[in-house]
Amino acid sequence: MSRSFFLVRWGLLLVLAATAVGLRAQPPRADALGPLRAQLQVELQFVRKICAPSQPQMQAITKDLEKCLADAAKRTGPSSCDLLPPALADSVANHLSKSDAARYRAEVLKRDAQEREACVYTFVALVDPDLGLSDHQRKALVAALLPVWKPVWSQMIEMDVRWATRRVPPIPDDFILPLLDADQAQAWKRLPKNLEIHQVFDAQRIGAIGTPNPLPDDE
Amino acid sequence: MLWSIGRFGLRAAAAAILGFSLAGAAPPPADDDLVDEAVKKTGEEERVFNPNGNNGIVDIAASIDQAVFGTQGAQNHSPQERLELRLQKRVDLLARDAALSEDQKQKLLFAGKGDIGRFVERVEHFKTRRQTAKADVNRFDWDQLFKETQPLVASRISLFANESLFAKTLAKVLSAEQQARYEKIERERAEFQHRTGVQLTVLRMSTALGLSGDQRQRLEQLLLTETRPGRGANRIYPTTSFNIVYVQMAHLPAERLRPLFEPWQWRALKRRLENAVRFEEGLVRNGVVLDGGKGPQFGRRGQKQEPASGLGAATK
Repeated sequence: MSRSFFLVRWGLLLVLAATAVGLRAQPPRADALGPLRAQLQVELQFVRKICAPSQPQMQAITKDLEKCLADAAKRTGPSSCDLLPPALADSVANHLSKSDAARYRAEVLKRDAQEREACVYTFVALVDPDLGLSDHQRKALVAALLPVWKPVWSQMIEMDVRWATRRVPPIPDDFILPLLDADQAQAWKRLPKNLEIHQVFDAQRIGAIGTPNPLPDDE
Repeated sequence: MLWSIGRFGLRAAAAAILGFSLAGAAPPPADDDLVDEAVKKTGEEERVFNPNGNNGIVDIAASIDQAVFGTQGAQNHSPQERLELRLQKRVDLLARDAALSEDQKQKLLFAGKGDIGRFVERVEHFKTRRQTAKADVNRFDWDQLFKETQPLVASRISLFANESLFAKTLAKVLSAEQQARYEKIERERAEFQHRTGVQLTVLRMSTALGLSGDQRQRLEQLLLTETRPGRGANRIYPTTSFNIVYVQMAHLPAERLRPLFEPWQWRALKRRLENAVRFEEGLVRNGVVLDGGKGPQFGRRGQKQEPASGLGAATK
């Protein structure tokens, strides 16, 4: 009797302490999204500019985006670089009028295109000093890579810019080698590649400068 | 039984307090950002020097080496070897760009090795002056050593620039035709890097401020025309290209930038650009200069109009 009472008592103590840890460490909603919360702000600012949704629309969009990002954080929903951005766009567009949704989706495409172009340029600038490219080769590489560029490569480039990982995306030789001479081809093969091709979307890629202010700025 | 419940209550309270304080003790991860490559490395390296403080004694010579030469590649190569590898890469790229003959390459390598030798000698001389005795690790003044090594760090960064034997030899050995070819190639490379810096700046502003396609286009156009490429004594990484454009953006007159943004975006942008000055210091330290000779330079520009960042007083 006294032994089981002792065990129950200590069990309760442990539960209480763990609850306290949980309450202290998790301000409301923050933990469910984890580092992906930054992406919530990115999407909210973007739709605010493009469609200026009403307050009820913004609330509904926020709720859906939070759910989508929380699912991604838990890996119970789309979380990869390929799948999460379209899922986020759906979470927004579902709450807009037909014409607003069309305008919003068109802007998302433009935004993706600019990100892709920036990352292709960055990739070429990154490998240029190692390969010793001519101006013609740099431009030819940009033109060749833009149509085949993958979303995960953008993340690799952005993380490289942020953390100086010095590993380039594992772009297939077929796209690169035809534009290089023999020495440059050897140099390309020697460059360390980032082989983690199945990456989850990492909101840290945008860094502090790219992260919007967490609160609405309406003052 | 009551006594037992009372003790339980006390323990429960203690457990809750412990839990709260433990959770509160975990700091949020430090945020890093687009910091100039060389500056970031130097900053990290300066704070890890002296791993050789065995038995509480500081190995001052090793600490100086780490402060001056950094730690990258230190496991496989001596400081001198690392500088020689840097020289070799530099000459290889030059040989490609300016179509150097073998004789020209050898002259440049010889001159560069001379610079390296002189520099290593300077560091050794500094060590001899500084290393009077081994010091107690707890009483050693790291900040002082850090300050004293800064001129050497700056010299390492610009080892093959300006008044170096390498730079003088380069100016001498290149024919007029090679010089023109080399200049053209360097200018084209700098322009490509500049475009990359502009693209990265637009990308960062796009996520931070929620820019539309039209705003991105207008910002890109403005930055391409109103900012200049930069050049450095060392390799320019895309991070540096971003910093070069971002710092110039912070110095643009507000009336050039403001019309591109919604009022709420402009307020957010102004706050963001106020921090850009810390990037400028890194660029100056690394000897990055703006192309074109005339016009403002990093670290020394006159302010006639209110800059976007409101940083008139902060610029020198």
